[in-house]
Amino acid sequence: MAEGSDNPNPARSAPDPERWLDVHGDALYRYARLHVSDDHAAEDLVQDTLLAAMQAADRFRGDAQERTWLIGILKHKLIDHLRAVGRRPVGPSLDAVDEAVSAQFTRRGLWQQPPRKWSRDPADGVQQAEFWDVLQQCLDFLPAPMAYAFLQRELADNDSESICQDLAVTATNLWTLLHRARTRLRRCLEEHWFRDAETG
Amino acid sequence: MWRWLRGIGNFFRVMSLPCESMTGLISHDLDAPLPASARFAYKFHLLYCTACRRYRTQLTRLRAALRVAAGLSGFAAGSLTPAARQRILADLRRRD
Repeated sequence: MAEGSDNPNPARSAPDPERWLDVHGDALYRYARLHVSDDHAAEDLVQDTLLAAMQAADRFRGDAQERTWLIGILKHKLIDHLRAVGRRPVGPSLDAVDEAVSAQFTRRGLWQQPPRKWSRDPADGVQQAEFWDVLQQCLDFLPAPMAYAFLQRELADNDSESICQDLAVTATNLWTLLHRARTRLRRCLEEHWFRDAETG
Repeated sequence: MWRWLRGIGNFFRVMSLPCESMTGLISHDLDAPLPASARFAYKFHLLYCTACRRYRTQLTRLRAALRVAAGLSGFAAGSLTPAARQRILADLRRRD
């Protein structure tokens, strides 16, 4: 898993897409796969990224890390992909109610089943491969832009404005997306990752 | 007198802020400062509602853990299958 992380920024040389695939392929794939809910789409995104990188190699500035540069290209490809599949959540098309969220509450807005005490610490979870499998499966239930908003905000720590631009939504719509994403994922992770120590 | 009654009315409206709306405020608070008008209801609700406090704590801890993980190489799971790797490699060679 630590492929090439010793030296992610080797001396500038001729573009070498085959080496990029070798050194960064898995990392690019994992990044793409978190965002899109199907393996083939993620593989295609890696391929498009490397092709684009090959054509833009002269614009690679040595002061940016190679992987960061490639992830940047991948992010653009990902945004294009989100728009192309037509799930771009422009304001009015954002549903007024998210059934998966409202199902967690009674008609009067009280918790149907209040959050349980988590038996494991997320800080330990992220170090385990199974946690990421569960997170991946939970993310796969979300509409693509919702997953994108969550990952860009909670994982990549990007600010709201840049995510609004990526998704072409207003700040209010982004907050709605994030609220839905967090509420759904919290529940999903609780059911599939954080609950079992109660019995064991 | 009327102002006093209205004050009591507002107090109860604030107290009865439903948890569903509350989770919206909690989430919002993770991204941007809450509008001043919502802050009192927000703090008050957190005082007495264990469930919403827990919701907030869990989201905060999850965020912290994910952000730490993102800084490490090799976070997340999965890797390119050999077949996909071959396919991409072939394509790169073709376009070279």
